Amino acid sequence: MSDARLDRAAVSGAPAAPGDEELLAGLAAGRLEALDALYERYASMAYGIARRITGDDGLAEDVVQDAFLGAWRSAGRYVPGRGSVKTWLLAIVHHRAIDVVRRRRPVAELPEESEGARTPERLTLPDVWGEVSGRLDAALVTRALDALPGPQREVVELAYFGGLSQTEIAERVGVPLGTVKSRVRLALVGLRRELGLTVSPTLEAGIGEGPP
Amino acid sequence: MTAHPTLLCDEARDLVPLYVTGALDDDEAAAVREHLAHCPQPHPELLDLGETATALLEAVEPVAPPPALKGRLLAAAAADLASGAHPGAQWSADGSSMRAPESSARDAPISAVSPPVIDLASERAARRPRVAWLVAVAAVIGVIALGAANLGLRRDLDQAQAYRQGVDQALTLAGQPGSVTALLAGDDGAASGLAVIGADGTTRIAVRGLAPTSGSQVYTAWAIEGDAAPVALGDFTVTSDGLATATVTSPTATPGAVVALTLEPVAGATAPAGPVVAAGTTGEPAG
Repeated sequence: MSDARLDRAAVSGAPAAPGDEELLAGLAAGRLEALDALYERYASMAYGIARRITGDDGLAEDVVQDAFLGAWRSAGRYVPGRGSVKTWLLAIVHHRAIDVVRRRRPVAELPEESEGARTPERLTLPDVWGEVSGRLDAALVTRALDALPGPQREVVELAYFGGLSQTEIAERVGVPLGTVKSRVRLALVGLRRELGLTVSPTLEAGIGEGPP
Repeated sequence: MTAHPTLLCDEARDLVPLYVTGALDDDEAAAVREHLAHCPQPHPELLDLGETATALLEAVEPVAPPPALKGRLLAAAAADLASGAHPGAQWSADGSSMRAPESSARDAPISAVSPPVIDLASERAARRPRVAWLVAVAAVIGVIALGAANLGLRRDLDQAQAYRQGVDQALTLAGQPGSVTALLAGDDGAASGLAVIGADGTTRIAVRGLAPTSGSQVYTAWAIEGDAAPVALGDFTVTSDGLATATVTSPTATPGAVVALTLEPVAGATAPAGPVVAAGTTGEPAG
């Protein structure tokens, strides 16, 4: 049975540079060379994200390994219509890195984990990763982020790259929870605008928020 | 933190920006997820803001990870296949269709396959002096033995020490010219260790976490080259402390061969019949 799946993946993998979705089909079929190729393609982005969030080379390596291993095991659960393979993969990296940072913060240290046979414990798959983000260019996103008002940019970065909760952000920045909430929303709406994406009226309106 | 057993639509919509940026506590995020999963109303803001948050990942500067990371990832992925943890695993639990996962001739080459192991030869070249490298690797594996053991402290220590000795012997062989090494791993990291096959066919295997054998049961080590039938490297038993070190003499193995351990009902099997308990792929030979 699995041989048939392998053959299909092999036949469709004929072009010199297989697409990401083909590689993911290879992962689902248990093809190590597909994992190898996907890793070659995105390991640097994944490691950059994991390092940015964890601030630690060793933890970042663990995050990248766990994320790719999670993709390896869960490739069959990727839904093509909901976003690119790249973004799906990077969203897994992001989730994992935030998990690691959060677990590390309150308690002292994680127990030593083995090196050769690490098995990630219940890795969260992203439920939202977006259609468009895989096609955006890094310079455009950087510009959009730079265009945000400082306080909005700050809360979004503390949350998304710092792994801080709204309560922690409120303490850190010294503003009420409602303000954190409205700043995050305004930041995301502002980013959408800068990126040339549509902004629906419901996104504009905040409910129960403090002053921005 | 207040628990949110149920959220109204407006409340959920209100929390979506915090949800997609990961700023909610676990219970709050769970409440949002719960609402979104069951709400009959559409929540387009989830997709819109979710993709916006994810777009931020594009702005992060890529950094090349250490080269050894790929080896570790592929070794763990290969162990998944061997243990049946991967949904697409070709190796059924009864081990009857055992075959090297990455070497089928029918697989169209997507890219060159790197051996899913830490490349000991290049690691050694990168670290000097050589003795320090051997000690470093042994120490890492020793930590695994301690961390994974479930027995009392005294037995843990004895076990770790005995395992360390087995690993040391295997690493000594691994450092000799022409030796190839495979890291072995089983389901959920329960069994782990390494197998080294020397240029003359001498094989040293150190594994911990194997269930004890009983009666006539033995573990059999196999080398599998490409699509060829598995070749038995030798049999060994495991005592009640879950520890085994084995030295057997076998045909030599080339880099890329899979080394697998199966649990067999009796010694002397010529084809694997029992379940695969651990497996790994050999890397490039030591220089």
